[in-house]
Amino acid sequence: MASGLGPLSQSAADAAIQNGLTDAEPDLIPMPPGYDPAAAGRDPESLRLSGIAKWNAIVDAARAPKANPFGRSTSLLDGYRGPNYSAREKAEWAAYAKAIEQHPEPEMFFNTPRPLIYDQSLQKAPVLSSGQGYVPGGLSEVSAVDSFFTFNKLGRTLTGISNSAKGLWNSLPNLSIGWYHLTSDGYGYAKDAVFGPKQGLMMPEPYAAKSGIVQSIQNNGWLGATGNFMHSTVKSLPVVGFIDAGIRNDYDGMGSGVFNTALWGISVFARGNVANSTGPTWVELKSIRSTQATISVKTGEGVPVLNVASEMKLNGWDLSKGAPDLVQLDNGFMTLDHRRLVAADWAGREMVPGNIHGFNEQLPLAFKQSARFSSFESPVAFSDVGTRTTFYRGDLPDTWGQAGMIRSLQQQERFGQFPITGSSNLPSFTFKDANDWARYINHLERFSNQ
Amino acid sequence: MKVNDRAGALIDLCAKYVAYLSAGGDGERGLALNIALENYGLPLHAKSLSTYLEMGDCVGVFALPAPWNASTCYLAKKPPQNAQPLDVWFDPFELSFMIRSVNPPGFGRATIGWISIGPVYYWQYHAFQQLVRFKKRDTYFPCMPDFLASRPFGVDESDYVTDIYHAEASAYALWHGKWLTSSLRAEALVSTLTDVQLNQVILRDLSFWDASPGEKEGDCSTFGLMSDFTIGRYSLNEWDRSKSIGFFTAISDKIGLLSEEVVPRDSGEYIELLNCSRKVLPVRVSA
Repeated sequence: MASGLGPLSQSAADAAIQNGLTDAEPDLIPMPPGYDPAAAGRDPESLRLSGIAKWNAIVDAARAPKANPFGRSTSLLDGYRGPNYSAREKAEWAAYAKAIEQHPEPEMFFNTPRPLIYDQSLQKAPVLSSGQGYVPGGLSEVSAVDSFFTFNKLGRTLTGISNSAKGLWNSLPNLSIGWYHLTSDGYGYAKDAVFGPKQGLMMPEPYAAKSGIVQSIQNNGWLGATGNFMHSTVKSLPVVGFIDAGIRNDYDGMGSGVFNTALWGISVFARGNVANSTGPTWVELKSIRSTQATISVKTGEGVPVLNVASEMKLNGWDLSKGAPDLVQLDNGFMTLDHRRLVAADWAGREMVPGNIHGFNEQLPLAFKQSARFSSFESPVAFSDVGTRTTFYRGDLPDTWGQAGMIRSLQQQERFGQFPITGSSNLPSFTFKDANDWARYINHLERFSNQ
Repeated sequence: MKVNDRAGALIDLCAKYVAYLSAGGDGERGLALNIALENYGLPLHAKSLSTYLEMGDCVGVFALPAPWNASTCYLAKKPPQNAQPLDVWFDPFELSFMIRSVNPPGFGRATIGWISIGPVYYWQYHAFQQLVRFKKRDTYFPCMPDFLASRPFGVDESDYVTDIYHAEASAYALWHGKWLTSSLRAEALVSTLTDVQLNQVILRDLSFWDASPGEKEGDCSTFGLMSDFTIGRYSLNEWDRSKSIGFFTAISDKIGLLSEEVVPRDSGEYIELLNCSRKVLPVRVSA
């Protein structure tokens, strides 16, 4: 019997799906033994076409986004099992996430009933220096191997080791960036000393350090910078990092602790992007992505942002008044505060201070217990592929990255398209009425003449 | 009740509530507060408080009136862990009834928690205003000079506190270890409650401060129950206030009721709270 010219039997389809759906041609599926189309009065060609159609229907059905596997567990009747997903739910989610990856949604709508994966054209999944990036997957059930490396403690530890090894490899270019920044700083300061600072639009602009080491010394002094270096290094020592991760049941972290000394102590610190740091770090304003589309001209006690800009222009950024929280991305930062950054932009400042947080760094308890945290409710359902967490409406973030993404989604809800890891444009001013606009113009003129 | 009588009852209730909280929920002060609650026209509050003071943490001692008669009532210092959906908890410090909220389909687990039944009363806010200790932050954007200051209040206008800033409402909620209710939680509630119950929780003639942010950075938002039982949202400026905006409080199980040990409390950009309703620091008493 020639292969694959008949209708696909249900058992063959089931077997194909159970064995992992592939793109195998339906021709490769054999006819049931002993089946003779001519004897049954069937046209072999129509049977072949019918078989292809049926196969394609099965493929389409399998590849279509599945019903929300958590729909049941988020219902009224079954909503009390606490935040911990079962292993089965995690496996279901992983398979579901992969299925949806095949069908990315172009937009997110307020009442979208099921979770969505990033629209990759808008939203760049962050790839961290430790290698914990998102690799798009094809359609398949979670294999035993995947399951082992995703959910098994030992598997996750091994994954951490592997990720850190990759991170170590990836850090080599960063190390060279660090040396490049150090060299540039030496040249920049020498040039300022000999020829004087560059004349900006409003005032002389002294050279601003690029190297994280130089910035740290400038901000914290030699002693503080050395302390920070020791702190980050000690935290990342294999034994210390391993114990720290063990306390937090972070098995990936336990694995990556083995390699963290090299990663954090040398590469990342030299690059100037110190995640999990305890004090403000100076970063380039243009490297910051906004999670807010608009800001009001008037803020606080009727104090326009431009007034703050004037103050910053005259006196620089006053660190006693705090620094914005910045979330580290692979190519910059995502901010949760904007008004001061807009003011700094108006003041012509290229470098701004920020409290840098890792994308997957857990939000501190103090933040979660603040009034501010309640404003981070997710307005839509979405999936954080980095931590494999599904968010539904009203859910609250656990990590700084999730907080930033939720802030962006709140913008997306209002304005339609908005990148989930923030916009490269600073928020624009909006005006309540013509008077607001007129006041703005007045301030602008005063500011320009300052 | 005549306006003067009502004003007298309100003043007495405010004073008794301040004394009760200052004494850390003391039983003797509680009995005096009990009478004041009754005189002000809140017999269920009075009954719940007196029962709690007499028996301590207890459940199902009395049946709640309709439309809550199917709910079990818990009288306890902290939110009960084993409550069922739509059960009711009486908070003996905020003196408010809270309903066990759940997450209907499409809503996340963080919406599971408690939401107060009805807006915050003026006397509750007044006691907060009297007792709260806070420190202003040094920020680029200073807050309004009348922040947390008393404002003229017409006793015949509303039982509920209105005409306060969003930041004040948020500070009140945090002082009690809670949050403002958000429009998302209100939406979840709409899917859960009957129309009669909903009308008691989200009064139609008021809008409510929303925990969710407004349209622009720093803006605030309000929500209200529409005639078709949907939730409408509006964005307001940071320092807007109105006599038609009240608020009610909520707890998410994700964080829970803040312990009295969590002080100071981060109440946003402008202030941090140095005490809380369950641990009011001693205040000077004039001779």
